[in-house]
Parts: sequence; C-alpha cells; structure tokens
Amino acid sequence: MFEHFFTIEQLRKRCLNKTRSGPLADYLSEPFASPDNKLNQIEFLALDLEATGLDFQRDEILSVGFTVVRNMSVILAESDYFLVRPKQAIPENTAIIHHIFDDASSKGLELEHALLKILKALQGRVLLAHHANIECGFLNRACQQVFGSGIMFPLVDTFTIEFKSLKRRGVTPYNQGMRLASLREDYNLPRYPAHNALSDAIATAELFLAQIAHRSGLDEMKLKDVMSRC
Amino acid sequence: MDLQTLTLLVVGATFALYIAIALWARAATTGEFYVAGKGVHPVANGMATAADWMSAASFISMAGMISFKGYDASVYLMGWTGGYVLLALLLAPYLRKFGKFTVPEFIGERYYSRTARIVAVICLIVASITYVIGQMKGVGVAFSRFLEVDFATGVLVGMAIVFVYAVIGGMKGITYTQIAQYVVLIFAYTVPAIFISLQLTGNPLPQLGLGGSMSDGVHVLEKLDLVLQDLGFSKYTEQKGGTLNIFLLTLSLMIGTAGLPHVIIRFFTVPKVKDARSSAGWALVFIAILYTTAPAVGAMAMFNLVKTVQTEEVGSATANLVYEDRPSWFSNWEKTGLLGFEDKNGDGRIQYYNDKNQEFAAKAEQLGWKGNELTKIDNDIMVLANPEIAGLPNWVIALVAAGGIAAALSTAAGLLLAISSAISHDLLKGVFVPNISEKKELMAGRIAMAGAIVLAGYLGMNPPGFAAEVVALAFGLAASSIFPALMMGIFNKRINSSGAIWGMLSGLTVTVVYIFVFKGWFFVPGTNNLPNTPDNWLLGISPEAFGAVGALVNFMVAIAVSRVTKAPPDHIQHMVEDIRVPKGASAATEH
Amino acid sequence: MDIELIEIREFLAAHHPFNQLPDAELDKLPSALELSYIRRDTLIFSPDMDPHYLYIIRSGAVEVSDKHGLLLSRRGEGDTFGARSVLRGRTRFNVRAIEDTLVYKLPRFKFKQLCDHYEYFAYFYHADGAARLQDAVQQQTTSRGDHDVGLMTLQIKDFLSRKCVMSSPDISISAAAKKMTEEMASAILICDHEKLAGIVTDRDMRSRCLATEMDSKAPVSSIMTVNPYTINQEDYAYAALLLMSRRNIHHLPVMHQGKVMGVISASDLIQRQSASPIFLVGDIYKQTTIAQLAETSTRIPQVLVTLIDADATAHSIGHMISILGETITTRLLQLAEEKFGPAPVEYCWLSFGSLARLEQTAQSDQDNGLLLSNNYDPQQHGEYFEKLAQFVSDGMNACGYDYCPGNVMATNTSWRQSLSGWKHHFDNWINKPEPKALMHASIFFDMRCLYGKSELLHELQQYVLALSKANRIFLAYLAGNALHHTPPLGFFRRFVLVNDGEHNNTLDLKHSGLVPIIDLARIYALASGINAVNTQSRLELVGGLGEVSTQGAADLKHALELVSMIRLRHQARMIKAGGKPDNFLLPDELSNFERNHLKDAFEIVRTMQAAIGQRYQAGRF
Repeated sequence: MFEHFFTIEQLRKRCLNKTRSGPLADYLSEPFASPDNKLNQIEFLALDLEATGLDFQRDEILSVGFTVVRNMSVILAESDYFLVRPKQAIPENTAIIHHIFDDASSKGLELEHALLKILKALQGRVLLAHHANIECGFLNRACQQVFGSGIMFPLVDTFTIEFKSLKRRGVTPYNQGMRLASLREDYNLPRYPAHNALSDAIATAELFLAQIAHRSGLDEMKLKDVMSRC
Repeated sequence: MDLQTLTLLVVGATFALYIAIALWARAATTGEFYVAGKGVHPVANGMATAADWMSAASFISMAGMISFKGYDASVYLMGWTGGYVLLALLLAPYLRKFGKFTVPEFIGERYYSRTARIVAVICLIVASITYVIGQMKGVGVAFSRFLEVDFATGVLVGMAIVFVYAVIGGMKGITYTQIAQYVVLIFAYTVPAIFISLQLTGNPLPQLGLGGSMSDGVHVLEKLDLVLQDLGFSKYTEQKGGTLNIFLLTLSLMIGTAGLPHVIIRFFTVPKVKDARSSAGWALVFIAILYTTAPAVGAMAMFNLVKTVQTEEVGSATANLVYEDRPSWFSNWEKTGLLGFEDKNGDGRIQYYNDKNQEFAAKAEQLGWKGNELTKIDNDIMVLANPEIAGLPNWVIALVAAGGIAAALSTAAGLLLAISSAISHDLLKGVFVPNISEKKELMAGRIAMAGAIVLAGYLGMNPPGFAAEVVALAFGLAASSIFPALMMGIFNKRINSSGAIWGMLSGLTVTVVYIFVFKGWFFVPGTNNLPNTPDNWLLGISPEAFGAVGALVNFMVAIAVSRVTKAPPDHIQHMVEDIRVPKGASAATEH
Repeated sequence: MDIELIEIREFLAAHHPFNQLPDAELDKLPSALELSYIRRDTLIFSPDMDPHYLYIIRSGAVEVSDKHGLLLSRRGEGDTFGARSVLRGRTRFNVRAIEDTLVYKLPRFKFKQLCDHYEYFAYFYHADGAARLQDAVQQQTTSRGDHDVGLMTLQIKDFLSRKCVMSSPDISISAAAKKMTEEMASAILICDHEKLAGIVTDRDMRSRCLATEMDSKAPVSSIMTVNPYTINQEDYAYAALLLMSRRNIHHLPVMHQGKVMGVISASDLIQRQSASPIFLVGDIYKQTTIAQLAETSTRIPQVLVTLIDADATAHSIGHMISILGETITTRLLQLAEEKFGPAPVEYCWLSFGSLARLEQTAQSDQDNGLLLSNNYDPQQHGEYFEKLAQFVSDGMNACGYDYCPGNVMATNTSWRQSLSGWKHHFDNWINKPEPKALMHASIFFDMRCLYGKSELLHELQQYVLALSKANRIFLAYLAGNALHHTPPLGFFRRFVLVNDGEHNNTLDLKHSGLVPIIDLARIYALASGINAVNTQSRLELVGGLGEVSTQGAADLKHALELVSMIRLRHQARMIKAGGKPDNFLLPDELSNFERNHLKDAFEIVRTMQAAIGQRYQAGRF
C-alpha cells in the first residue's frame, strides 16, 4: 500500500534488485518512459490476452495479441499474435468464448518463449490495456512462474481513464457501459468481433486514441495524466 | 380529534399552502412576456418584509420575556422597532444608490479592500448564525411541545425542516410564500390574544384590554402588580435594570438591525425607491400589529399562569394547585423538559414564588414553603402555552404552533440563504478560489447552509439564554461590527480601509469577549469567567447591551486609525459624496 | 499472423478500389496500415503540406474544401482521401473531420507501389473516370465564383420537398393543364397503375399541343414524352444537372426502387445553387424596390436548409442568417436615404435581440431602434426620422420580418431617441430595475449597429456597461428573471414536456433550451463589462473573469451549440416537409445519443442557473 509514495522509476529499481539476472532483469534494467513525457513522444504496447479463465492464480494464458502505438497512431506492421500452450486442458465453457481449442493451442508457444516475445515488445514502452487488472495479473504470475519474480511496467488503462472522467463529471459508471465495445460505441468507433486477442488489442488502442483526442488534446497531455498503477 | 393530530394537520396544511403558493407564483411569473405588470405590490412586500422581520424571537420569546421581566423587556419592542426605522430611513436608500445589496459587497467596494470585505463577511456570518440559533430554539420549542417529545428531538426535527425549507426557499416566488406566512403568523398571534383579552377584560382589542380594567374594576396592570407582589416578585411595571443598561440595550438592538442581511435585501426587492419607502411603511404597520399585542399577551399570560398555580389568596391552605390535579398542558410541557416541578416541601401542591426575596422568606417559612417549586419555566413556552392556560379551543392552540413555526421558518430561510451566498460567493469565490466551478460553488453553499443549521441547532440545544436573548446577542455583534462601518462608509468620506478593518475587528472583539466572559466561551456552559449577574457587569451593562459599547469602540478606533493613515483614494471620496447626492440628476435634466 | 487482421482485410475487400486487388495483396495490406483517430472538427491536412499517407475512412466522415473554404466534397465510411495529393507530392485542399473519424493510413510508398502494380488502382485515382466527372462539376461551380455547398454533396432526395403532381394517361390535356396550374407545377407525371408512363411539361403543352393546334380534349398521353430519363433519389444533384444539360431537358422524374418519388426541375437545382448566403447578399444589394427585396428574401429559408445540410455549425448559421437580415436593413436604409435625402444629423440604426446577437435562424419579428446624435432636435428633424423609420419598418415587414408585437421599433418615439435619451432609458432600467419592465428590456441589452455611425452605439455601450457592472441590485434582478425559464429536466433526468394544448409532448427548445443560456451569458457579460453581444462570444470572453468559472463558461458554450444544432436540424426537417419552422421538438426525433447529450446540456444549464440563483439570492427578486 505504500507503493503509491514511490515514483515508478524507484519501483522499477526495487523490482530490479529483487530479480535474478536473466531476460526479466534485462528488461527491468532499462529505464521506463518518464511520466513527464508528452503522449505523442511515447510508444505504447496495446496488449490483450485470452486465458482459460479469469483467475490468474489458477488459469493459464492461451493467446496474446499486441500492437504498437507510436506518435498516437496504431502501427499495424508491428502487431503480433500468438497462441500459448497451456499445461492443462482448455475448459469447454471458455473455448466457446475465444474459439481456441486444444488442438490449435497445442501448436502454441511455450510460456517462456511467449514471455520473451512480450518482454522484447514491451521494452521502453508503456503497456496499454482495457481493464488492465487481468493483463497485469496474468503477466505477473507468468513471470513469477518462469523467472521467479514478478514484473512491472508503466501502465495506461483505458477503463480507468473513462472511469475517472465519468467520476469527475459526477456520473456513476455502470458496468455494462464500461465494456470495451460499449465505450467504443460512445466514441463512434466501429464494431469489431470481440475475443480475439489481437483485435481486442487494436480495439483498445483505437479507444485510447479516441479518448485522448476527446480530452484536452495531445499538446498538453503527459503520460502522468493518464497513467494507472497495477 | 386530539390536539396532537390537529396540530399536525394545521401545520401540515400551512406547509402545503406555502409550497402551493411558491409553485403558483413560479408558474404565474413565467412566460407572459409582453404583459405589462408592476411587480410585487408595496403592501404585499410590506407583509413579506414583516414575515422576514418577525422571527421566532418576536413571535415566541418577546411576550414570554415581557411576562417575566415586565416593563424592562419593553426595550426589545423599542429597540427592534427603532432599528427597523433606522434601517429603512438611514441605510437602505444609500445602499441602493450604491448598487449593492449585501453588506460585504458595500464594505468591500467602499473600503476598496478585500480584507475589509472578508472581515465584514465574517462579522455577518457570526451575527447571522447567532440569529439562527434563536430560530432553532423557537422551532425546537414548538415541535417538542406539539409532537410531545423532548426539546432536543424537537430541535432535530426543526433542523431537518428548516434545511429542506431553506433549499426550496431559494426558489422564485418566495415573496408570496412569505405573505402567506405573515398572514398565518399574525392570525396565530392575535386570535388567542383577542380571546384572552375578552375573557379577562371584556375588550376584544388586547392593546386596549391591557389598559382597561377587569371585571372587578381594578386595572389589569395594577392587578398584576398586586398578584406578583403577593408572591414576593417585584412589581410588574417597575424598572429593574439600571437606566444605562436599558438605554444601551435598546441602542444595541436598534443599530444591530442594520447589518442583518435578510432584512436589508427586502428593501431592494421592490424596484423603485418610492415603492421601497411605502413598503417599509406598510411593513412597520404589519410589524406593529404584533408588537403592540405582545405586551398584552405577556401580561395576561403571566396573570393566567399565576392564577392557575395560586388559585386563591396567598396563605390559604387550599390556595395552591394540587400537583396531581394539574391541567394537561402542564404535564405536556413537563415532557419537553421546558417546565419543571419539584415538590420541595412534600405537600403535593405547587408553590410558585420568589424564593430569592429575603423579605418574603419569613412569610414563606411561616406557610411551610421550602422554595420555589416551579424549578423551570422557559420563557419561550409562554406564548405557546398561553391559549392552553386560558383554556381556548384546540384549533387556536394548533394555529399558534403553525404561527410560531412560520415565524421561525421565514426568518431562518432568509438568513440561511444569505449565509450560503456569503460563504460560497463572497468568501470562497470572491477570495479563496476565484475560478471555482459553479458545481462546487453550489455545493459549498449547500454545505455552508447545512453547517450553519447544525451549529445553530447544537447551540440551540445548549443555549446561553432563551430565544430573544440569543437574538439580542446577534444584534449586539452586528451592532458592534457592521453598523459603524456602514454609517461611516456613507457619511464620512475620510474613513479608509485600515480604519474600517481595525474598527470592525476591535468592536467585534470587545463585544465577543465581554459576552464570553459572562456567558461562557463559545457559549459552552460553565466556561464563563464571571457569574452573569448585574454586580459583576461593567457599569451594570449586561452582555446583551454591550453591542452599543462595542460600536462606540469601533467608531473611535476607526476614526483614530483613519486619522493617522492615508486618506482614501479620490474616486472613493467622490463616490461617497455621490451617494448622498441624487444620482442621475444631471442625465435627467440633460434630457 | 496476417490472418488475425482479417477484420481489416474484410473491410478493405468490401470497398472500391481495394476490392479490385488480388487476394494475396489484400492479405498483406492490413499490416502495412497505421490507424488514427481524428476528433470531429479537427483539420487533418491543409494545402501545401507534404502528404505521407492515403487515408481510408474506417468510420466517420470528412469534408474536403479548397483553400478559400469552398466545400468540394464529403467523404464517408469506405471512401479515401489524400490520393491525388500523394501522387502530386503536395496537398491541395483542406480536409476536416466532420465526425469522430477512424482512419487507416496507407503509407505513401506502399500506395505508390500499388498504383505501379495495378493499373485499375492507378486509373481510379488519376484524373480520369469518376474523378474527372467530379472535377468537371467542381470547375463549373468554382468558375462562377459562387461559394456553393450544394450540388456536389446533396442528393436528389434533399430537393424533394413539394408534392409530386401525377395523373393517369387517359385524362384530357386540358384537365392536366388545369391540374398543373392549380398545383403551380411545371411538369406532370403520367402514371399507369403506379408505373411511370411518361412526363408532360410546360414546354410540351406549348410545343406539342398549342403549336400544333391539337384538341385539348385529347388524352394527355398523346403529348407526353414516353419513358423519360429518370434519376434515382440517392444520386447526387450534379448528376441530375449533367443529365439535363446533356439531353437538353429540364425535368427528371425521381425514382426509388422502381417507384416514382417526385420530379425535379432544373430550376430546383439552380435555385439551390443560389441558396448560398454570399450569393444572396449580392442579390439583395441589387434590388431597388421593396417588392423586389421581399421577393429576394423569400430565399432565406432555403439558405437555412442549405447551410444545415452542409453541416455548418449553429454559430456560423446564426451568423449568416443574421447577416442577411442586416443586409436587407442596410439596403432599405440606402433606399430610404435615396428617397428622403441624406440624414440631417448623424444616426445609428440599432437592432436588438437575436438579430443583434447574430443568432437569427428563421426570420422573426423585427426589433429595432434609432440612436440619434445629441444634435437631434425633434422639432426640426423629427419628421425626417419618422419617415425613415416607417419606410424601413414597413420594408422589413414586407420582407418577412413581422412588426414587433411589443412595438420595439424605430417607428415608436420611445425607441427613436438621441444618445442622451437612450442613456436615460438605460439609467432607468439599471438604477430602478423592475422585474417585468426588465424582462421586456432585456433585448435592449443585446444591441448592434446595423447601419450608420457606430461610434454613437459605442459610446452608449460604454455608458451602459459602466452602470451595469457596478450595480449588483440590477444584476440580481436580471438573475431573478433569468430563472424564469428553466431547462425541461425533471427528477431522474426525465424530460419535462410542454403541455399547453397546442404543442403537447414536445420540448420547447427555444424557451427552455436556448433562452436560459442566452440570459445567463447576458448577465455574465453585463457584470463583467464585456461589450460582445453574441452569446458564444460572450461565453468565450467572460470565463474566469469572476462572474463565471472558465469551466462553467466553456460548458455553457457547448450546451449552446448542441441545443442550437438540434433546433436547427429540427427546423430544417420542417422546412423540407414544407412547413413553417418552429421550436417544438418531439423527443422521438432524437437519437439516444443526442438525447443523452441534450440532457447533459440541460443539466449544465440547471447547475449554472442554481449557482447564479444562490449567488444573487435570486429567488427573492
């Protein structure tokens, strides 16, 4: 609970000290984007993942999709999508949602390999997600399993951005209206099929662009104005 | 139908009436764009002003004080009436010419100083809240009696109702509601008075009844003097306090009126100076109806009270009321805790007499009386209990309750609106957060209003005196701080900002300290440094009367400080001269 | 990995010219794209920039205009823009998002690659084919110097306002002629069992019937043009114009899914072209009689519709329509001076209310006055100005600006005063405020000089502002009045609908929507000593000056634009339907989105009213 008293840089260093050398330590040794930087000078990694369930202590990552936002444009050329091989069988009820079945997923990457790809993409960037608790939880848990300690990164959560601004306007947000699809509708963004990690990641990135465009404008906004904590 | 239900019905009906009128007035004033109209008629505005003016203190406490203090309490009548005239003639026209409708605005502009404005706001808030205490006390008494609950609960109910009413009170059309409140209030006051006057003297006009004679040919006041002297009290018509004290108290009440925001604003709600004058005149008439009735109500209520307890000549064995046989109003008021009986000599009868009177002690001893057994009679119950004591029909009693609540509500709402505007606009937006958003400004106003109610409610439950005295304190504070600043602002162009600020601060401080020394710091009982008795008072001046001294200090400090500091800028001096010369005269002749 | 971008691929595949690309190329295309979100009203590029991308609109819409602001076209979902700029290496136009827009950006090199590889792709974007046609029409309008928004962007259905005149083939020629005369139509459509059989126009009546001395009892089918050219109602107007000029015809039946929807004439199109405010201003100055002016001013409602269709902001629409009123007044005064000779003393023609605030939409009553120099002597000059005022006032009335029912007109001696006379008026209003009188007088606090010596008005304004700024009692009265009209929002944010018998279940957008905002802005301006009269300008200037917070003023400004826009669209619908525009909106006309925004706007007004009410204790005034 005292974490809020530290800057993100201080937290990174603390985290680095607790991490044994390896890919995670390499990732953590590079400074994070400064919260004082303007948004259009920052690169974001919009990331979404699908898992066997919502409980990151127990469930496993199934697929990861991400894309890069640079200079407030989504760069599709740098997007990526891959399946991850889970240890346990995929429960049927979740398979219905994300359409990833055992036979496809058995061709997926090892969790470690997947994490290496994510760490590489995340290096020097700010994680961008909608309702980021899930992504934070799963990434942290996976890093603990693979590298023996947790991960941290600067984070922007489109859910939190919307939530805060609604609160400021005195509106009580209701759950249904805060879902990615509903928010996109509010910003006149087109409908996308949900529950594919990459298309959700792109959808989140677009929502972020829209949110920023509708707020005080790029010139003034800094990372710290929109940053969240895991 | 029992009294409680009837009272609830009558009070409920008057509330429904106020709200209906507010809604009607709102609808009626909307939308008729090209219809010529005249605004509020001066007579109507006079009634509304009277409703604003006559608070719970006027309605509930004044007669009660007169009952117990006799002649001395008439200073309240004189002070308040005089204050009203002073305000109407001396201050309001100039403030209007200045184009400002609140005192802090005037002071801030005249003394070209934000500090002066803040000081004025603070003085006003202190005085206003003190005044609200009196109203809370009043509604508390009324509600506790008619809901048959204890006084604290009564105050809580009153607080809730006042808050709701004050929030609605910001609505358009409040003037018409206040007219209704005046009508309710004046009926409630005069109807029982007429009945009682008829009963006692056969004269339907209480004012005449008081000067008339009773069925046995003795004058009412003489009879009352006799009755009271028989019980060891001093004569009703005798002056008890020192003359200086009486004079200063009257003066404090008069000049203290000047700063009270809810009344000042009334002078501006009629468009033309001429109309303002005539509505002030009408207001005076409407106020006089109640004020001239009050002495009669006080005297007759006292007479009836004593006669109830002391049914025959003092000394007769059966002359004192048997406690078990006490009338229902007696037991009902006991429930509220505002009336107390203790059977000190164990004879089962009630003895009400002056046990502080050494001369009467021997006689009491001889009669086997062991001290005054009416251990508590709150002055504020007199007007409300009056019809019950006189045995008037239930609907009259219910009407009185509605009247008392109307008096308290109209005044409290006006004050609370002024307080919330002063805090949110003058203080917060004007000084601390100039660019505060309107939403927050509104919220601040509401919070200020609620805060003032809670504070006043708390102090109402732990009161330093009864309603009229609390109100007298408020007037004292206003008198010592605001009145001099206003007067000098208008009539002495040489007074500068530092003079005004130091004057206000020293006047207020002197008065507040004097009050606290005798009444307890922040009115907390038991924290007073000296007992609140005439022997300890400086030159025999009571805390209620000290406002006039504070005002004097204010004047002297302001003039002295202004002398030794730089004169106000030229444009201010011109402005002050302009206020007193009719403005726009040149433009009019040019035309 | 590309397969995961399938959604984007499908989108491209559904739109021209990408649908002409081979599958393999389409598969690769998404990963070359970048994505941007552009907020409504943002300029995407302006002339003479170095273009980097071809833009593909994923959702939303943009407007292309030239550097003078002339609207060239509007592009929506699936359309592209910026292609020719990329090919030329320089941008030529302004492109502005008119909705929140999501674009796919195809980098320049990739676009050029596609053009090099695929001939069709290149053809589509080169100045040929569809593009050439567009250019032609564009040229036509620009060369006339007519800043017109119409034909490129309007569809035929936008022109169909009046009822279509139809008959069966077997009625007589004279009956058809009678029907045309009754309906004031220049063409009649002949239908056989709901199917279009032919058309008969005025010209046909003349050349095929009268000129050949044909019996007028003969069936109308004998002179009709059989199987005429038709046009679909979704087609753009310029297509109709091209078809007409190519075939030398003046009428085209309009079809929709095989059914006859109406008929469109060349004059409908021409009229629309001239329904541009600038054009109209020019025309007004050319008129020399009141009758001609009156005739010209009948085009004003059409201008309104055109502007709304062109998605101009409410602010600019109010501005343009008000300028038309100002122009008519000016022209009338010029005519009056020609007639009665030059004015004996200096004067300034004042207008009050919406025309002064530059917020007129539909024509309304005239509110005007004459401000005369202090040299004015009623004995000597009174007659001249009386005649002048009468002439202009009558002229305005003839032009559709009805006489003011409250008699706020220069013909009334009260409002035909010297400078000191006006000062005296304002002195009275400000120093002896009376609620009812002030309610009537509030329009006088919105005044503008339309013609004459504006210095006179300037002096008057300075005087008024100095008085109003200092007089809080007066402001409190204004605040009290401003609370008369409240936003129609009940508990739980429900709309409170009008229930007056005449406009039941509607929202009164004027009195409960705009008037409260206008009133608030006036108080802020008068309290802060701001001499702007336009509501939006007032709100822009007063924020943070002490009377109102920056945030509050900005919120109100947005609320104003929103409510005005909703009202304008409503009025445009009414004009198109052939009715007289009013302010009463059925809530069902609103989309959910609009409804929510409207409620937000009302909520803002409510808060601002409550704040000012608290501040001035306005309930008591």
